[in-house]
Amino acid sequence: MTKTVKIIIVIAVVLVIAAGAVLGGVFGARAVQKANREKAERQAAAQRQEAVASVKQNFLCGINENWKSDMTDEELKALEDAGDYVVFAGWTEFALNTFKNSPLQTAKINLFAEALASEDGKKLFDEFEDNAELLIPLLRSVGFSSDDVAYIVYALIEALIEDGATTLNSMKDKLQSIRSATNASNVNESISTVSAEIEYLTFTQAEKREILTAVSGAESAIKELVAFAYTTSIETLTNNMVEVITSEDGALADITNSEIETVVNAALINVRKLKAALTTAEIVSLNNAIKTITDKFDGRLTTSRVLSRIVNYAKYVYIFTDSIPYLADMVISASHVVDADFLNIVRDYVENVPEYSNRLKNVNELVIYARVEKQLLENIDKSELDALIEVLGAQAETDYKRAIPIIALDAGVNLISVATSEEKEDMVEYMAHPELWNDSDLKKLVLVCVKFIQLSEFEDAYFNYIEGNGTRDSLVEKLRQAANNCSFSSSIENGGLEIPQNPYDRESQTDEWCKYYLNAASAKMVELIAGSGENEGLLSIVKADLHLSIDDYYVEDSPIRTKLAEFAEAQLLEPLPDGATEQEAQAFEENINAYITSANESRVLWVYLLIDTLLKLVK
Amino acid sequence: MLKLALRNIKSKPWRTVATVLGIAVAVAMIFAMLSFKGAVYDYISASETSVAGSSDIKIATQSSSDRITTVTPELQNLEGIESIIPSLYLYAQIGDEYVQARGFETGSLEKLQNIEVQSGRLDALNVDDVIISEAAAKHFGVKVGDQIELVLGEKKTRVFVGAIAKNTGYFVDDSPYLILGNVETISKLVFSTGQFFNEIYIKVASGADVNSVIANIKALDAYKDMQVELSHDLKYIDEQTTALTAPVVLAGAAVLVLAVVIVAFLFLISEKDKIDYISRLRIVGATNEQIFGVLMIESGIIAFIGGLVGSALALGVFALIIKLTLKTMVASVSALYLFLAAVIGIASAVLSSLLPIVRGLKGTIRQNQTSGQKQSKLGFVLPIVLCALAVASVLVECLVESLTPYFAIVSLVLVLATLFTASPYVLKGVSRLCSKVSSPSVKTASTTLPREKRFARSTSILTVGVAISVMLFMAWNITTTVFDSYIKNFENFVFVSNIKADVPVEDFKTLDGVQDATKMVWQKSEIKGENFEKTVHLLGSYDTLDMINFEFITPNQDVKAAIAPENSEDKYTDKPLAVVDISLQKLYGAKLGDELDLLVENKTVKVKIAGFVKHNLFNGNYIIMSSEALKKACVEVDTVLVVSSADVKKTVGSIKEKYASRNYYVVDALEAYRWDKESTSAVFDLVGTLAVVVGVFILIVSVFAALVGRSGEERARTAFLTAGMSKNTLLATEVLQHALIALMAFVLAFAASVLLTMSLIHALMLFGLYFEFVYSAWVVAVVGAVAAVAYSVVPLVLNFKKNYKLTRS
Repeated sequence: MTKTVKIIIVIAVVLVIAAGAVLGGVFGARAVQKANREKAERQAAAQRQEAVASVKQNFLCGINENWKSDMTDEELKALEDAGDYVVFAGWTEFALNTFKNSPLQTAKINLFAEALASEDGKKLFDEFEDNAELLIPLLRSVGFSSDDVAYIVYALIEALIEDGATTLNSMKDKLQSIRSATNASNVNESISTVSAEIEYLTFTQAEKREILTAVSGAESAIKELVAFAYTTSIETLTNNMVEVITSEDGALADITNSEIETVVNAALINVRKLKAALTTAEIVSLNNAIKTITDKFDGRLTTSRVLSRIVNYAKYVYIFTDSIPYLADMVISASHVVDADFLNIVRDYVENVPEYSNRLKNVNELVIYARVEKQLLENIDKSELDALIEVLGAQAETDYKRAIPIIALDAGVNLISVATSEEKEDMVEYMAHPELWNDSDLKKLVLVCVKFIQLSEFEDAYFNYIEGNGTRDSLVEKLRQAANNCSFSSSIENGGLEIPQNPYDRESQTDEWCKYYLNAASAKMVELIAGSGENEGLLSIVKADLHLSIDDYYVEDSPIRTKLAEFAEAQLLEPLPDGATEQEAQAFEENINAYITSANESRVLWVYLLIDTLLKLVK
Repeated sequence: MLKLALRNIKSKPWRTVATVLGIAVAVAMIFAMLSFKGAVYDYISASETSVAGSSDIKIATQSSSDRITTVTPELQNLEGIESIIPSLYLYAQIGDEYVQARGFETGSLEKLQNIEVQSGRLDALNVDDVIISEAAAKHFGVKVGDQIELVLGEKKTRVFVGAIAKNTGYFVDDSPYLILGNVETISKLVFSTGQFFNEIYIKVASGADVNSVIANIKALDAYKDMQVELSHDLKYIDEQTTALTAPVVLAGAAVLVLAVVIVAFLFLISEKDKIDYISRLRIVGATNEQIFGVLMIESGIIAFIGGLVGSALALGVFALIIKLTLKTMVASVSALYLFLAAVIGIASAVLSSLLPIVRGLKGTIRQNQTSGQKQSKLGFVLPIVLCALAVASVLVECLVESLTPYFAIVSLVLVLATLFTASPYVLKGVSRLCSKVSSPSVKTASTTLPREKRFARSTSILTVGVAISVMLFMAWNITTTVFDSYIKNFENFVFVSNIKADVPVEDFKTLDGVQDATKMVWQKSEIKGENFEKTVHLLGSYDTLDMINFEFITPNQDVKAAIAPENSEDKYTDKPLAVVDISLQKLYGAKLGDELDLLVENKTVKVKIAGFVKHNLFNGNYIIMSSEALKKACVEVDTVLVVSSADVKKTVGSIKEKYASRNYYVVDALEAYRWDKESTSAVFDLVGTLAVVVGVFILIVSVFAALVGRSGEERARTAFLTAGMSKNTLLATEVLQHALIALMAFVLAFAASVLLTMSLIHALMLFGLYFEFVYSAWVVAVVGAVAAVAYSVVPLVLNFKKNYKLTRS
C-alpha cells in the first residue's frame, strides 16, 4: 500500500469519525432533549393531578371537617351524612375534571387549593347556600382571570349536558353501595333526589346534539358575558378611580385630566368588548342557548348549587340580552362625565356619606346623577334611545318576563309623574302623557306590575317545593297561599288573570297543578302585554309613552334639558353643622327642597332609577 | 498532463497537504476579516431593533406628555398605515431587582418580532402568562408553570411563566431581564382594570412616505406632545458599529494582505524544486506549453482544494466564534464574502505559482540547473528606502495635523513593508553575531540561516505576522479600554429617570448619602456641523461641568461663564451655547463660535460652541448645555443625576425607598452601564477571540511554510548526519534556527508596535473616532512571547528528530 493511499485512508477514517461524532452528537442531543421533554411533561401532569387532588381535599374538608377526599366504602358506611358526601364529592370531581382539562395554570390550581383552606375559604363553606357569591372574590384573590372563569363556566355547562347523567348515575351507584344502617336516611334522601335529576338530565343522542349545538353556537357570547360579569364591578371601578385621582403615588401620581380620560376609556374596555362580541347574530344564538338551558335545567338541579346558580344567572341575563349593546353605548356615553372635577365631587360624597342623613344622601346622589344624565344625553343620539325602546318592546312580545324592563321603565316614569304632580281629579291625569291612557289601560298596567311580583313568588314557592326545602305539607300550603295571592281565576278588573279552573289536584298532582298555572299565567300575561286578536295590549301604549318621554328631552328648547343643565352644575350639600340655629335649619331644609324640585323638573329621578337598576345588574 | 500533475501532487504528500491547509487557513483569515464588520453590524442592529422590531414609526410618551395613551380612531383611520401595535413598557421589580415588563394585546405578541421558544408553547398562553428568556429563567430559578410576582410601587400582579424563549428577537436586549406578556396583565401595575399603553408602533403601508405619516400623526391632538419618530436609528447603528469595529477593520486590512502574501510564499518556497522539475521535463523533450499545462493543473488542483477546504473552515470557525461570543446566530454568513475569500485565496495561489514557472521557462536547462540561489545585489536597498519613507511618513503624521489620518495609513503600510523587507537582513546580522559562539549547533544554525532563502521568507512572514497579531490585540485593547475606562469616574453616580419635569430636586438632596443632585436632560441626540453629523449624548445641565472631571481645553472660567455667568443671581442663561469634546476640533476642525444643529426630541435647536473640554465619556460623543437653555427650546429635563457621598448601593436603596410608590427608575451608573455594556461586551469578546484565532492562524501558516520549505532540504540534513553530526545536535540546530527567527520577529515586532499602535489610533480618525494614545506593553509582550515560544518549539513538538535519516529515502 503506497504512502498516498495510506494518507487517503487515514483522512477518510478521520472524516468518517468526525461525521459520526457530529451526527451522533446531534441525534444524541435530540434524544436527550426528547427524553427531558417527556420527563418534564410527566412531571407536569403529576403535579397537576396533585394540585387538583389538593383542591378536592380542601373543598370537602371545608364543607365538613370529618370529610376527606377518597373515603373508602367502609368509612362511608360508618358516616351518617354519607349521602351528602357522595353527592358533594361527585359534583366536586365533575367540576375538577373541567379544571384539570382547562388551560388553567397548575400553580393557580394550587393557589386555589390554598385559598380554600384559608379563612376566606372557610367563610365560603359556612353556609355555602347563602355564601356561594363569596366564591367570586375568592377566585379574584387567587388571580383567576376573566378568561379562566369564562372557560370554566362554559366547560361546566357543556360537561353538564354531555356527562351530567353519567355523573348522577355514578353517584346513585355509589350511594346504593354504601348504604348502611347508620346512613340509611341520608343516603335514601340523596338517592331520591339524584334519581329525579337523572330523569331530566338523560337525553337522547339527538336531544343532546340539539342542546350542544345551541350552546356551542353561543360559545363566544356566553364566555364574553361571563368574563364581563366576573370582572366588572362599578363599585370597585369607582373606588379605584377616586383612589387614582387623589393619590400622590403610583404610576399615575398627580394624574392629569387627559390621563383620566385615557384611564376611563381603558377601564371601559370590557364594556366595549362585550358590545363588540354581541352582534345581532350572536345575540340570537345566545338567546337560543339560554332558553335551551333554562328550559332544560331551570331550578331543578338541586344537588349542585354552583350549577344551579349558573342557570339562575342565565335566566336573569336573558331579560337583557337584546338591549346589552344599547346599554353598553349608554355607559360609554355617560363615561365622558368622568373628569377631575367629577371625581372630586364623588370623592367628597364618598368621604362624607357617613355623616349624611338619608334625605341628604339621596339629594346629593341626585346631583351626581344629574351630571351623569347630562353627559349621557349630550353624547347619545335620540335615535339610539328610541331604538332601545323598540328592542325592549320586541322582546316583550313573546315572553312576559322579558317585558319586565320596558314595563318597569314606563311604570317608573309615570310613578315619578304621579309623585311630583299636583293633585288631580282623575288618575289618568297624573300620567306623564295622559293623552295616551285611559282607565282600563292604567289598571292593566298596575295589574301587570303586581303580577310580575306575585308570579315570581309563586315560581319561588314551586322551586322550593321541588328542592324539598321543608315538609311536603308546608310546601304545598305555601303554594296554595302563593296561588291565592295571584288570584289566577279572578277577573282582570278584580286583579286576577281569568285563568280557567285548574283541572289538577293540588295535593296529589302538585307538579302538574303548578305547571298548569305557570303556563296559563304566562300566556295571559303575554296577552295583556302584547295583545291578541282585536285586543290591543299594553305594549303599544307603553312604547309610545316612553318615546314621548325621550322626545321631552330632545325637543328644541326643552325646559327639562335646561333644568337639567342648571341642576348638573349644583354642588353637593353639606350636612347641617351641630348647634345650628333654627334659621339655619330652615334654610337647610329649603335648600334640600329646592334641590328635589330641580331634580323633579329635570326628571333626574327617572335616570336615577335607570342607572340604579343597571348598577344592581352589574353588581 | 493531468496524470503527471496528479503524480506530482502524490509524490510529495506532506508538502501538498501543508500547502492546501495553508491556503485553507489563509482563506479562513480573509473571510473572517471581510465578515467581521457585517457580523457586528447585524448584532448591534438586532440589539437596537429588538424593541421596535419590524415597525417603522414609534409613538412614545415623554416627560412633558401624558404618561399613558390610546390608539384613537383618528390614528386608525390615518392614511398610509398598515398596522398599529400598541404596547405598555414599564420598569417593574421582581424582589429588589428591576426588570423590563412589556405587554402587548392578545394576538399581537409576534407582530414586531418572532419569538423562538425553548420550552413551553406560545399558542397555549393564558392572559396572565409571560415569556422570559433562558437567562432570566436561570437567574430567577424558574421554569414553565412557575409564578412570579411583579411589583411597581404599591401595585402587584402575579404572573406565570408560560414559555421560555431563546436569546433572539425581543430578548436580544435582555438587560435588565425582559418579561413579555399580555397588556391586560401588565396594566394591572398601573390600574386595576383596563389596558394601558405608553408606546405605539406603526408599520407604514407599502409605498407610503414615512415622514409624511410621522407629520400627520404629530398633527393629531392626542399625540402632539409625544415623541413621534422613526423606530430605528440606522445612523446610530452605523456609528456604533464603526466605533466598535474600526480598529479591527484597519488591522484586518493588513491581515488580508498578509494572507495573500502567505499563499504566495507557500508556492515560492518550492520555487527551486519547480525550476529543477522544469529542466528535467525539458530534457525529456516536453514543450513549454506542456510544461506550463502540467504545472498549472497541479497548482490549480491544490489551489482549488485549498479554496474549498478554506471555505468550509472559514464557515465553521467563524460561525463558531460568533456563536461563542455573540451567543446568537443573528449574524448571517455572507455567501458573497465566502466566495470572495475563496476566490482571493485561489487566485493568489494560482498567480503565485506562475512566478517559479515563468522563471523556469525563461532560463535554459543549464541556467536552471546551475543558477543556485542568487542574491540580488541591490536587495538591501529596498528596506533602507522603505525605512526612510516610513520615518518620513511618521514625521508627517505626527507634525502635520491635517494630514495625520492619511499618513497614518501610509505609515502603517510602510512600517509593515519595512519589517517585511528588513527582517531577513537583521536575521543575517544576528546570525553573524551568533556564528562567533563555539557551540556546533549554534554555529551551524547561524551559518545556514543567512544562506537559505526559506529562512528569509519565514522571518519576513513571522515578523509581519507577529506585528499584525500585536496590532489586532492592540485593537482589542483600545476598544475595551476606551469603552470601559471612563465608567470608573461614575462609580458614585445614580440616575433617577421616569420623573416628571417639575419634580423638586431639593427633596433628593435631603436624603442620606446624597452629596449633590441636579435635574437634567440625559438622552441621545444628533449634532450637525458644517462637514459632519454624529450621534452624541446630551448632558443637559450646567452642574455637570462640576460633577464630572472634565479637562478644560478652553479655560474653565470662560466655559462656565459662557453657559452660566459668574454672577450667582444671574446663574443661568438662555443663550443657546454648548460645550463639546475636543475630538470635534481634532476630527472636523470645529472652532469656538461655530454653529451646530442639535436635534433632540424631534426639535432642532441651533447652538454655538462656547468651549472645548476633554473626557473619554462616550468616546467624546457628548454635548453639554444648561437645562434652562433647553427648556427654552421646549426640551424638558427627564433625569435626576445624584452624586452619592457614601455607599452608592445604600443611596440607591434610600431613593428607592422614599419614592417606592412612584414609577421612578433608580439605578447606579455602574448598573446602568452594565446593561449598556452587556450588548457591547459580546462584541469585545468577538474582537478578542478573532485576534486570538487570527494569531493562531498566522502561527499555523508560518509553521506550514516552514515545513514546506524544510521538506526540500532533506539532502542537507542527511549530509550533516553523514558528516557525523548527532541527531540531537541537528535537532538543536533546527530549534535554534526557529528560536533565532522567533526572537528576531519578537524584538522587531515589539519595537515596531509603538509606531503601529500610534498609526492605528491616528488612522481611526478617518472613521470619525478620536482616541488618545493607548499602549499596553504587556499585551505586546505576551502576544509576541507566546508566538515566539510556539514557533521555537515547533521542531520538538513535531518531532523532527524522528525523520532524520542517514540515507535519503
